[in-house]
Amino acid sequence: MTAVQYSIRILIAICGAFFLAQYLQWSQGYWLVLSAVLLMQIRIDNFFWKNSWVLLLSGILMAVNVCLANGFASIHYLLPFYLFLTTLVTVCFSLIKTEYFLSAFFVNLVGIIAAGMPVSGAVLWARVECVFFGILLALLVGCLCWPPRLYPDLKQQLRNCFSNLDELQKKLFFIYLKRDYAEQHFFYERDLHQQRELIFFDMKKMNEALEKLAPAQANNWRDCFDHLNHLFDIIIALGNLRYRIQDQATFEVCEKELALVSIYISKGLDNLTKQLKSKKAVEFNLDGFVLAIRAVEEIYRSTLQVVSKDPLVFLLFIQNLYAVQEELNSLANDVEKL
Amino acid sequence: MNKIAIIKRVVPRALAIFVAVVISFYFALSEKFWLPLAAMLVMQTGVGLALRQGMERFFTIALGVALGTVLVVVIKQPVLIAVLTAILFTLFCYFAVKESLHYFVLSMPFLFALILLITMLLPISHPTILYERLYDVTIGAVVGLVTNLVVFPVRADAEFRNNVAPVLDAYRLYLISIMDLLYKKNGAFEKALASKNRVEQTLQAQSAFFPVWVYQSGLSIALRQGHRHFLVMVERVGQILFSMHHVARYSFDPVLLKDLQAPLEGFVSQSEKILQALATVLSLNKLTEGVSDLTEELAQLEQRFKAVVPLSLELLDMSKEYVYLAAFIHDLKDLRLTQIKLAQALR
Repeated sequence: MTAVQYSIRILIAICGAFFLAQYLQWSQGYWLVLSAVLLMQIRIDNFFWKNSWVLLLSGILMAVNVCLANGFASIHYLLPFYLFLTTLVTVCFSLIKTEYFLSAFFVNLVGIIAAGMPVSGAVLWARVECVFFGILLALLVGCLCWPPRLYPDLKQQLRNCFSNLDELQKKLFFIYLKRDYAEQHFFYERDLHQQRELIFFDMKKMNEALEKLAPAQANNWRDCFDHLNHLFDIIIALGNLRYRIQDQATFEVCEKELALVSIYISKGLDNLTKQLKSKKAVEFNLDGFVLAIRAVEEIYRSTLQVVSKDPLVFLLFIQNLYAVQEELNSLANDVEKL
Repeated sequence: MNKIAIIKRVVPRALAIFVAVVISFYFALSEKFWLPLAAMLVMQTGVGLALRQGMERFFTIALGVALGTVLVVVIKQPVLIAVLTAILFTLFCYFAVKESLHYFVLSMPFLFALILLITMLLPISHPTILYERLYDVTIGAVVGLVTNLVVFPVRADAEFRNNVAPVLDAYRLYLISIMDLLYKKNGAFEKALASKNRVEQTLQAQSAFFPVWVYQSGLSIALRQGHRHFLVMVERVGQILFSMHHVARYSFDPVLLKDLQAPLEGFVSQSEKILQALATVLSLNKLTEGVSDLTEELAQLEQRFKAVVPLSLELLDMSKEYVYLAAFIHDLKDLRLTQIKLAQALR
């Protein structure tokens, strides 16, 4: 989900909550807005049912905590102990199950707010009612605006993987074209770490989804996943050149060729994505990529062998480029079978 | 995350809430929740950044309270307030998510949006409410900041060591599985993939508390440089292992591998020991015995490699098998050099 989509969901939820609160003239209407808006932030999975269950359960826990905190607020000496305990439990839970951090955090937050503004029985009931309306509103907006999928969509996850892998290779090749890597390498490495993390996350999700598939159905996907894993390893191996070559100026010799290689890897991954989206066969041609590798090979033989302190690393780099080509072809075959 | 680390993080937060609630009984001027809420929110800080980030969060809360209260005091029409709240909240949420989709809830724009929302939703009872809310928020922030700094303060170096040790341990098991894959042992392919998955999990901040906080600004300069350098080296080991995994997938001539088996296994076993020693040093914070010489087997391995494959680049270029074997040995060499840098950094 993009930042814009996320914001539109929030805007719809908050406007809906304000409208309901105004229309129904509830004195505790702000609890409807608060609970709906907080619950809208929770999105722990790409699957509809799990997401909805977590949202519902978080909402119910919020309502229970609002009631209990309100009750304890009337007994002064017990309230600090109650809030101590709820904080202990929620923080502990969020540290053990990090994916539920938001749910635990919001449950604790509404408890603190409710304890600070205690109300009597009838008003408390109106408050809880508002929280439940907030849950319903959050569920409704969650269903209507960019809902997560009902079942795992492996093709979508594979497309995400391709896109993130493409971003990673672009960033790695970009470093070869930048002179300030040595001085700013913490900055670049952090960026690369974040990009790798996205791929790890995609792969983990894909692996989890693969385990749920029937064995007959899983075979093609398993092959595809293995090749994807291999392609990731090769791209990482390509990136290792950045610390094997100490003198950044060496890359100047093959600057254009490296940029071209990156463009063709990008095109290859883009073609795979198109193939996944399209129902018809998409032509998959890596001739341009092979020519780009040959250009690197040529410059390696004519210049880099002489200029570079350790020409072997460029030879290994070229070999890895051919390995990328092989893996892209294998992936194209796998994708065709899916 | 181990139990002690969890207790050290949980207890200060719960204690701060306890103290803040007790103080709010006697000193709170406005709504009673501002004090514990401010205490809770200023404690959401990164490792080694308790004071700086805590102060930043306090100022954000104060600004949110001030803006929200002033808007509600100035604009009397509820519909206009509702529209303004919706627009401002959405806008700041957008900035928060744009900054980071995974960690937006801990970002300053989201904190500002949350406080603004709470402030604008609450009815204003009297004109001096702004002063009273700011007074409560300040006391709450002081409680949170002091508790965060005094009760089980998180020592950045200890936290860093605890976070990195499991990564090195995962690397060690991954290296063993890569060697099994190189020699095409039974079930080696699946084992290597499983080990790779484990490494990937330990390298993610979300699941294993990988110390990405060393990249954040505000960390003590003395710690920052060393920790960042060490972390980059640790990640480099992972990247070398991924590269070795790629090469180990290929089928090599068994005779060629047999020729290299003794020095290769000797080298890898020593590398495993170094990884284990590094993990032990990090987790126990004391030096262990067992790793003496770091470069001798590398020379042996290279010598043996030169004996079984052609020496010149041109001849090496002619066989894919030789190139891949050279790549594997180059990776091993890089691995050892990185391990040496890690060992030097530990001093």
